[in-house]
Amino acid sequence: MRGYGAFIQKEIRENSRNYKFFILGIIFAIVGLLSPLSARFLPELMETLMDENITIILAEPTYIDSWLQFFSNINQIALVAFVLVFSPVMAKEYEKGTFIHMVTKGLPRLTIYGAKLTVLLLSWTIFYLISFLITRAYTLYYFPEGTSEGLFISVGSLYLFGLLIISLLMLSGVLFRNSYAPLLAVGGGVAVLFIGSIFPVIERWSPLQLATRNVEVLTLQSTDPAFTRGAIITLMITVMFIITGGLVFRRKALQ
Amino acid sequence: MAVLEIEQLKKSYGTQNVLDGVTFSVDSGSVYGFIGKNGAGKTTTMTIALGLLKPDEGTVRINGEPVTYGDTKTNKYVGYLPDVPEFYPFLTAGEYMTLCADVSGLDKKESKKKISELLEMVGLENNKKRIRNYSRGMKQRLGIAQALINDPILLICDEPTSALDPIGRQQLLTVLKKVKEKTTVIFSTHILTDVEAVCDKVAILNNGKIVKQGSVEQLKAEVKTNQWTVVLETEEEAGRVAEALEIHPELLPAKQTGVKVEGTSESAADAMSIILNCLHTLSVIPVRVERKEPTMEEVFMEAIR
Repeated sequence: MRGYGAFIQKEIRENSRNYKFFILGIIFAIVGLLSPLSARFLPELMETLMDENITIILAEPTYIDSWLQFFSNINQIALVAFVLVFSPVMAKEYEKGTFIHMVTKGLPRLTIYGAKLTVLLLSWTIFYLISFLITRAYTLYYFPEGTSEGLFISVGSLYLFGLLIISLLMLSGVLFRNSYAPLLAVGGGVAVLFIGSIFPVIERWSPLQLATRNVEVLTLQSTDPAFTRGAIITLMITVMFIITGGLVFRRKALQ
Repeated sequence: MAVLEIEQLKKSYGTQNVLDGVTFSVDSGSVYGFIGKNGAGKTTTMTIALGLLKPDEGTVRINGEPVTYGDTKTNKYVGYLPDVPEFYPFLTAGEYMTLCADVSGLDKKESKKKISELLEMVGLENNKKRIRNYSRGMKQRLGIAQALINDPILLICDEPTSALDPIGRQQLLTVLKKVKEKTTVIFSTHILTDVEAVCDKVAILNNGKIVKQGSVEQLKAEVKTNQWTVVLETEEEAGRVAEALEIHPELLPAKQTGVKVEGTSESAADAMSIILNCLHTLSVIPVRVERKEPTMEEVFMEAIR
């Protein structure tokens, strides 16, 4: 347990001193801030930028637009940045051989894997929470009529999708020594999900629903069985990736 | 008692046999030199002993317990110093040592004292720089400090001096000499002067096999020396001695270079007898008469021939 704590502390120091936490903190905060602001002011901005002769009719923005921006910004900016920043999580240690001193001091490999995974999961949770709280506060301020009905399921499902991506990032990090390989694995994984969702049979079971149907859940304020199935599948795959990663790392040659 | 026992160790990569039945043991309290040319299998043997690589066949025991691939329990007895140790560059030496102490499960209070003792021993006690700013020599010294944090009974050093300049090498060898008072050391290298400087026993590895092992003195004694040298006061004396020795066919060829007369013979003992007689007959007092002792380099070359 002491080794686990010490390794977590090392990971936190590393990510703080290499400015990874700082960069992600800024990105997630900007996403949190930008989502309600763009929902609120984008229509006005467009109106002022348009030629006087052109008339566009824009619906009055609501809290739904704010969360629509949030989901799309988290998916397209924050999660991508998270994966980019943490893609060398294992590769750097493989390349430099820094694991060897830890392992030869008797630190179990599963402790190393567990500590790295914990820091990734905690980082995702904290940054996502920061982003969510900022968006929530500004949405309440600009759109006081908004309701929180369905909000936590829609926000929670995207969080769960993030966990799936992180577990895939860790698994591919363990499997491949190259720091670009996890990027390709995550990118490839998401591409496979998109291709799969072309087929309705797969779509009804796909984890991708957790990242694409958030606004629908928020608007309808309820989920359907397909969405629930997607969430269960996501959880199962996440656990499977995490366990597989640990098992592979236990037997991985470190030299 | 043997701290490290290796029996019939075999490892191959594809068709290339790296280790082919390597067997040796390292007794407690000694510095064991493990020498061989590049690619002889030294690092592979050490990596297997650390549980970082799986052997095809054979067993390794440390302190009587078998080494297993993966999370081997025997690592609690071991300290490891690689040729180019890599650390977390964003940490200071103190922080890195604290991490190592925590990972090794040392008592908090005890570890503080131990860390300052070890950093003092390697001359890094007041260094607040991050490791990314360290020279290679400093990294190697930190490497030895971290390897000793858990009071290992066996210190495995894999070519620890190969990447260092002469001063760094000297510093490291001094530290190793200090360490050997408490810890058994196995020390792989291809720098043979380092072996002579610190090792009690030596094993020579060639083509995946141990071709010779024993104490440095034993191995040297096994190599026949047939060279002799006489150093005289003046060139004139050297000339007279060279001329006198020429009539002895068993000393041929006797060659004069300045005040030195050198040659080879079938038997070094016979040569000494003839040379001393000759000096006596000529009434010449030499500065030095010597049978040249074989160097470790000659021992090594003989072994791998």
